Amino acid sequence: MEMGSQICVRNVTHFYTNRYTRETVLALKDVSFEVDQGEFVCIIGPSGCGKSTLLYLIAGLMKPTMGEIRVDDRPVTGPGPDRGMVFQEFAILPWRTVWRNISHGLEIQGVPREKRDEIVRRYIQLIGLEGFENKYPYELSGGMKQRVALARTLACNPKVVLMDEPFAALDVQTRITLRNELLKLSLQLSNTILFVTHSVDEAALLGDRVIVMTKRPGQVKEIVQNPIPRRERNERTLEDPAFIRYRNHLFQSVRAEVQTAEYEELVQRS
Amino acid sequence: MAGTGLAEAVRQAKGIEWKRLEFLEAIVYNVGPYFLLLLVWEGVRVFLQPDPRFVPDVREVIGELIYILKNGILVDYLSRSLLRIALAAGVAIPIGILIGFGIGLNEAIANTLLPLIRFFNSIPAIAWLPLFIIWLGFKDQTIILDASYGLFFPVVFNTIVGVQTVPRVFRDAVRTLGGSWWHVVTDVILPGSLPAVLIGIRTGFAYAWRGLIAAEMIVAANGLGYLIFKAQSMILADRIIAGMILIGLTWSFLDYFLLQPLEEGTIRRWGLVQR
Ligand SMILES: Nc1ncnc2c1ncn2[C@@H]1O[C@H](COP(=O)(O)OP(=O)(O)OP(=O)(O)O)[C@@H](O)[C@H]1O
Ligand SMILES: [Mg+2]
Repeated sequence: MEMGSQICVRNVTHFYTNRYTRETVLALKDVSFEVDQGEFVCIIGPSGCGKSTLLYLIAGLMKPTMGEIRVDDRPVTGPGPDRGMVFQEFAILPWRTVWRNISHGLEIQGVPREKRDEIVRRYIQLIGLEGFENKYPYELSGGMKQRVALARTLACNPKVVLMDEPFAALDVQTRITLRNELLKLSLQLSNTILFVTHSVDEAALLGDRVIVMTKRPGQVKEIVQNPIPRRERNERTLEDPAFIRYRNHLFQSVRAEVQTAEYEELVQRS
Repeated sequence: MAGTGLAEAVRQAKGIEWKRLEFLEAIVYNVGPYFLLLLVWEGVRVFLQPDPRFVPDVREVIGELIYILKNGILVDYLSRSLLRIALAAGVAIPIGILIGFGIGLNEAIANTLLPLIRFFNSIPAIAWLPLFIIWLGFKDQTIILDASYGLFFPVVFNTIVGVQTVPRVFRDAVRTLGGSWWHVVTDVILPGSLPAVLIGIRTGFAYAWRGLIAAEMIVAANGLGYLIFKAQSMILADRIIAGMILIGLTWSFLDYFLLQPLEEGTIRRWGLVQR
């Protein structure tokens, strides 16, 4: 194993077994890749190819059927504060205010009150949540909720930030706003980020590298390097010819997988 | 610090302020329906003209209420019934929530206890009364146990549903923040199951109240149940109805001043129920 790689996924295969019918679903098949410290890596692939499964395995919320996952050269045995996660469903707690949601991880880790407040204040400012501190989640828009979830995760300063389609439930405009904000924010962060998305644009703009997955059972189809360094990426990058070629390549790659998946489904049904 | 979710909720419940308009509105909505009921009652009396010994006049019933208030029976009996129901709640609610949590969270506990709980749930509290009397005698304990029995089951079943319907992603979120199982229980399951637990307590109280009244009729020499049962042997229909009104009003007050503020401060504040 290489030194310096923060996340190391090696030959991971994962089955789900239905408790009642005993049927098994092969979600991931022999997946291997590594992510370096501080890297921003995106994962794209057809629906149901096992992207969420992969993140849950790295988070330690499930154990892989086969294979090994290491973070900082230590095997993952369960969830821990070194691997934060942002979920698609805005998983902030309805019974906590914005402030108390963001401070939750710090509370859990027993960070003293003053230190905690200082950190929370910093992230509220950084992520643009001023004025919402005492609101409850139901009073917030989807975009705001997801900002809170991101702030909550970042406040713990995890080595790895796992993001499972965090913007999927948002409208297109909010989604673009948050994407651009995350891109800017990531330049100030040293955390390693693993970001799952359905959107090729999102993956192309955010990721230093993009992992393209095959249809289920998910395998790594290819890993593509972004031609533009993160520091130089912004909204105008979308019109850069090199970037457009890169983006189109990703699009074709995913599209091919989606089409075979759809075709197979048709054959199976008939 | 973990587990401060509920403490915060209680703080907020205490801080509820009353605005005057809201108070007027509350009076209209809370008195209006009873006024309609009175109209129907008087309508029956005036148009159907039943035997006045069996269907008394509103005024007679009010007179009776004033009479038992003056001679001290009302306050004495009411406070005894309230004390009994409070003790029953103090026993049944914590045990019910605890067992509901156990069943909701642990499969082994569920497999062991659920069949028993289903079995006993099908036996009405009143059916236990003879046995409770043999075991505990004609005492307060018998009444409290009978009331607790009815309260226990709705609390258990609703707590189970509450625990099991807290979205899984909340647990995952707390675990990825480094939270232990204990954090999940105190910060997620406890507040998350509260809407269902409150339904359980409310349903359960109705059963407890029934068990209490029934047990007081047979076991006690005081309390609201005794009041109306004793009146029957003297054919005091007005006193029976006065007693029934007291029972209904007492429950309405308990609901209004105990359960509703708790709801306001917690699940409504959190937006878990819409208005
Ligand atoms: N708990 C489960 N039990 C059984 N099968 C499951 C379970 N969770 C996921 N699966 C199956 O495993 C496969 C991969 O699921 P996963 O949620 O990881 O896909 P995904 O790539 O995240 O999909 P999407 O893009 O739609 O979110 C799917 O076919 C799904 O039906
Ligand atoms: Mg998914």
